[in-house]
Amino acid sequence: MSWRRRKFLAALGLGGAGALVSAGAASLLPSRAGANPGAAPKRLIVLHTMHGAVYQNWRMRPGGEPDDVDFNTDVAGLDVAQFSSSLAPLHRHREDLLVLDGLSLVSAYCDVDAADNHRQGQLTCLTGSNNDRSAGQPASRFASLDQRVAREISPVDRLASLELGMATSEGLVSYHAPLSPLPVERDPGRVWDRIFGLSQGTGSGSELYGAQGGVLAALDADYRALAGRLSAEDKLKLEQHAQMIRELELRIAGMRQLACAPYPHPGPQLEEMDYETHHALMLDLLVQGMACGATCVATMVHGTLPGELVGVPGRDVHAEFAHDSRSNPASIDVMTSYYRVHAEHMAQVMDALAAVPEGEGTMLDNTLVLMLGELGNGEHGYETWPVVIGGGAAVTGWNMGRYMRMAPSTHAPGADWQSSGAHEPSWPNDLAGVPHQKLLTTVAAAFGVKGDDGELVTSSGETRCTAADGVEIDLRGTLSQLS
Amino acid sequence: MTAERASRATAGAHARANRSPLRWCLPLWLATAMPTGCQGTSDEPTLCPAGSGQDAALRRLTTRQYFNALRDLFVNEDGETLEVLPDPQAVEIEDPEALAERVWLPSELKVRGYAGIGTGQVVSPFLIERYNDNAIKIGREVSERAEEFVTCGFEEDPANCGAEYLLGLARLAWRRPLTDAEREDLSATFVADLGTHGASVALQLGLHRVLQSPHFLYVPEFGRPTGALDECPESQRQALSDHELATRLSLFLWNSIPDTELLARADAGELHTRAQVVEAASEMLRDPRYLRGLWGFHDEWLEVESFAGSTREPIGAGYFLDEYHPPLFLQQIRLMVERAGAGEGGTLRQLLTTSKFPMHGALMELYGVEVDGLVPPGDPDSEDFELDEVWIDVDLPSHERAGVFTSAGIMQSLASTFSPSPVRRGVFVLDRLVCNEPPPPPASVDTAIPENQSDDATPITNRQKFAAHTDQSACRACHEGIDGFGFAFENYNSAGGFWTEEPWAVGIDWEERPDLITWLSIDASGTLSGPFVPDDLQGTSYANAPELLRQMAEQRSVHRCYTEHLYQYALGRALPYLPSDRGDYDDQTIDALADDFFAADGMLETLVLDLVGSEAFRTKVGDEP
Repeated sequence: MSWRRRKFLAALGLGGAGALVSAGAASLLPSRAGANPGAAPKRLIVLHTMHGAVYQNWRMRPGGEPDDVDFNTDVAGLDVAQFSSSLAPLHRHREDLLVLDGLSLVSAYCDVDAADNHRQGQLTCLTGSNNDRSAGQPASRFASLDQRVAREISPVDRLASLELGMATSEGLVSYHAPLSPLPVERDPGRVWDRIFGLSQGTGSGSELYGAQGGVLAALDADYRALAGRLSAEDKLKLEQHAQMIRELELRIAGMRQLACAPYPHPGPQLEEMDYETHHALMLDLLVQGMACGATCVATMVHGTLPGELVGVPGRDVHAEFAHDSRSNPASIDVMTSYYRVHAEHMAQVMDALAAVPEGEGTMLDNTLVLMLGELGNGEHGYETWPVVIGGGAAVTGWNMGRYMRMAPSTHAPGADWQSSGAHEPSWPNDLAGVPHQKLLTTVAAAFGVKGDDGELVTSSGETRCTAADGVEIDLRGTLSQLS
Repeated sequence: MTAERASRATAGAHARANRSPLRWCLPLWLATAMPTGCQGTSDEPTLCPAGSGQDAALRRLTTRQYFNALRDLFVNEDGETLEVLPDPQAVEIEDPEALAERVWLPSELKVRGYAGIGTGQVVSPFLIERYNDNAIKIGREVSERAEEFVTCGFEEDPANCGAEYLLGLARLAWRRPLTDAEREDLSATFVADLGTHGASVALQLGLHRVLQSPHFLYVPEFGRPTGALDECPESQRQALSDHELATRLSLFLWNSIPDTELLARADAGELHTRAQVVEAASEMLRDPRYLRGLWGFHDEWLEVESFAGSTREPIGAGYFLDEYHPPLFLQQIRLMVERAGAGEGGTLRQLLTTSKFPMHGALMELYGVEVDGLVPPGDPDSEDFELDEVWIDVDLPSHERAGVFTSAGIMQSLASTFSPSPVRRGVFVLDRLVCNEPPPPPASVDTAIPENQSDDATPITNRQKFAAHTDQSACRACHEGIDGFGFAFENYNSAGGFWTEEPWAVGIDWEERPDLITWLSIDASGTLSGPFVPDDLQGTSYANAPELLRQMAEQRSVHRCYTEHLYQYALGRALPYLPSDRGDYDDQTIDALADDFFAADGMLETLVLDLVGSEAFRTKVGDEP
């Protein structure tokens, strides 16, 4: 919790027991960090994909540029044939795109206690963290980007963030706090419950929610009383729980007042839905929910796509294709299509946002969509980490419609590291891509996330990593090219 | 992998080995302490291990414990519970309409496969929302059916009956007598709510409070003021109270909260000596609720959650997996666990080696049997498709199947669409039966398995394909140890069916022309050697998986590993990843339990009773001075 938020809760009298916010006060509540009332909302949607991309079919070199130079080129004027095969579905949003070529999860190579590649990538991609096993399994020791942004921008009486999963078993990437990954929900009916339940479901007319203030205040006191009798770590757990009960009290009041367009409950149909139907429904729920202010931050976690979406029905894409997607021509084709499907997913997210007018533009202007994943490629490499940003120009002020290539310039993490990943054979073996922490810091700063000193953040997760030859790699700072 | 890449990978492996030797192929088992004490049967004195060990992080009820507890808290005269409460043990695919009305929780994070490990039990806004919504749904149904569930005459005298009911419920849910302040608080709040909102809402608000209380959802432990156990006066650990032990016992053995009888023992102060705890536990093992506990542990130990949703179509087998298979696989394992674990005389050996398999009509084809009394299922696409509930035990050939690790459910979960995954199978056995899970391959190693799919390729078996890949010297270091276990299971195809020949179908349309498939003889024999293989299994040779499992079931190391898993489950605490971070206290306790368990021929009941009688189970780390 940021200091601003603590201060805000204290101002509401929620530092102590018993404060009940009446439903009528909800509309007066500012954002968590006290946003300017009347300003357009800021939003963040993170799309997480698995197995990276096939770099040679993902990258674009519209001017025939060599790999070892930086360039920053306009893509708004390109026709679809000039887009790479994997990115082609995003051509329709080219004016709102920012493609980042040259980032790397390089710190994962220096982590001496790394987890298996998928889990390591998942725990670090939004956090910048090394692996921390102290809770008994691989985990991040920092909060994730989406949660840091949520703390900054989400109104305190709404859902701070939504974690949606197209699969629940493959990967947790959002960390509420150190060692605290957030669960994802894949059932559209349950997602509906979270977004619309209090305004359109059983909660809307129920006097119970209105009468609950005393219960929640009493529970808050119960948790803090018990916490006071426990050891430091256990105490923290119960204090977190108490804090969340206080937030729930505010959220119930705020969420009951949401004036969302009527949205029918999707019903219990998950088991019958194919991937694309499921995705379309989740996306619609999310955008409609965001449109009426249910939340400002969401992370959508994709699992491995089913074979039928990439022309190999019934096959195990992960085991049979991803793992040799740099050497086997058949797998290269499949995994090129694989990323293209996700590019289409991202384009659909942008379609949906662009369809909702907001202020002088659309929701897309105020919503930064960030697509990234756990790996650079299907063979578990952390280099050539593919990142695409869409929309959000009103939030970030960035020039969109660009493709930005950052040539390898980071000290290589290990002598042998090149053999592992998607580092292109023609590239120098002594240089790695730009640390992904810089992207996280850049996005966090664009949303106004501040450090303990009250200034905009300058790092995300780890601040340095040590290469095999002892050289320290600096992970701090932002991508200066963006602004 | 090219020679150049291989040599780079080798260099990488060594570089990592130098940095972090324990993670790189040093058999973890070798690093564990040898037994330092002996523990007799449950009548004999408790071992008092040296040191104070660690405590579990504050535990919360797991999803299963939460639902089981709620189902135990709300029971009407006919023994029925509320309609909104799901049965967390349910195997069958429920009617989705009914499911949507039920209460639910977000998915859980598991540590080493277990949801009950305190450090993994993260609090999230999502979870807090669900606890509240669930309490609201439960409260609504209880108030609507007050005649059935609030049986003190709520309609006639809500003021007295409502308060009395809530106090009784809190005592059960919080698993201890209430303090005077708590009684007063709950009663006064109810009376005040009664005046403001009326009887029904007041009752519901009271339920919201009781069911979201930290005393219900969490398992706080403060210990007895008297300090150490009587029989371990020198110990730095503090004895738990009778009520805290009642909760530990019921969470472990029933996967739920204590019932009134167990609480009554605690109230009477008769639930803290070793004899008292063991006696109570012995009775709990005879209760039908013990199945929840047995399944609770074994479902997680065997990772049955990974059964669902897989596409499995072994080439040329003539069958593939359908949606109805996963619940049947789970049911089959549950029945095997029940037969080995519930009741006297069941042993780990039985669980690992039995060739008696519960059989269902819809599994006969996969297992290659026909059984009188069982009928194969009809067309799953037809309107009236329904699976019957008949299970019949059959004796399978002993060279085909031995125990749960050769069940189709586990075998198919460790496979890809067409082929078995010997590496995943080997790692699974190492993790679950040997407790030496290999570290992940270094980031610098190429883990792709070449497909060898050119039309003129020489036919090779799945095993040869994997062996060629992992013969690379960098991979060999670990895979020698992994493959010794993994290749033993090559006779089980990707759907879990048994066969002795496997298909080679590269370059042909095998669906249209199955006659063109080349059938290759399977070699599932091997010898255990290399890293991760414990001393008592080094050099073990076998012709197939059943032979391997029968030999493993005779070894102490396997009994010790099962003990280690059960110990973590029972205490809600995962042992540190690195053996060097583990304290002697746990090693001594586990070794002593394992010795006893092994000496008792692997009797599961012996282990369970020894465990609940141990110092570790009956104490906590003492408060800081």
